[in-house]
Amino acid sequence: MRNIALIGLAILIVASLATGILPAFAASTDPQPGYTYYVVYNQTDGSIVTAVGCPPYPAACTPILQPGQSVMYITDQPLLVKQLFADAHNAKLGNWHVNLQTHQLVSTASVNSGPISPVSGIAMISIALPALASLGVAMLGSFIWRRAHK
Amino acid sequence: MASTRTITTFAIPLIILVLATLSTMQPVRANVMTIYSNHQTWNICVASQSTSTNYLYSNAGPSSTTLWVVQVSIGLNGGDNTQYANWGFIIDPNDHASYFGAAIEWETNGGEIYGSTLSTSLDTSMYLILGINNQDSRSQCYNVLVTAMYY
Repeated sequence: MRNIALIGLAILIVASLATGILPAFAASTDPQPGYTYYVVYNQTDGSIVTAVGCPPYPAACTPILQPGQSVMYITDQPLLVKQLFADAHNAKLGNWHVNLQTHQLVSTASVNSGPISPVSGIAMISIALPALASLGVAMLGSFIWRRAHK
Repeated sequence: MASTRTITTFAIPLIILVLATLSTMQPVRANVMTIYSNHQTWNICVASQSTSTNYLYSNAGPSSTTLWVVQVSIGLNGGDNTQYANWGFIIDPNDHASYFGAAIEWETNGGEIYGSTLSTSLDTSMYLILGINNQDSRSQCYNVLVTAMYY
């Protein structure tokens, strides 16, 4: 009886880790609810100067622009926010620029072929890792349960 | 049993003393601390060799004379571990209260957080402006944590 209780506790701890901690790490670059996102870029070449994730009220989400700079708010484009900040988190903000003709924020990296595009990279982190963790928990639980009932 | 004269001798001066003390007390207003924001977090990414300047708060709190205490902390958010940056903040558009941190060189990725607290009495609303200058050859994201309160 005591063994079963301990096994149950172990499964609970591992499950908590899998469902709590892993997604928290995976979601570090995800858009946060209530946050406002914007980029400041140079009007001459569209290069990004800064990208900001600004918390909800009472925070003000207003950049101070230098001459020749503009601001673009991107809160309504969550996928773009996710990709941009995932790149920025890896010191690759320079991969992004504003297309001055279309006024769209675009990534030069997503145009070039590479081993992992930003989108698939995020999918790997946000979907595959929690799925693998859940699978691991299930297998571990099954293994422990069988050992206990041998 | 104490005589009437004894009571009078001690009681009357005591009453006079208490009344005198009370009459010289100045009425004071009890100032209650108000938390304006508690650990709000910004994620600010700055391109290489660039400066990001933003209003974190604008027209905040009472417009009458108010004592403000604002704490701002900054740490790395991702990136590499050889960052070199300057940062500073002001809580008054007239620049009466400003802090400019020494250049920071982080040696461990996200391992260290630097912060400072400004306290000042403002005759206007509070405006918190933060500037970060990334001197590194690569872009870098910073977590900026702010707590603000007034009395």
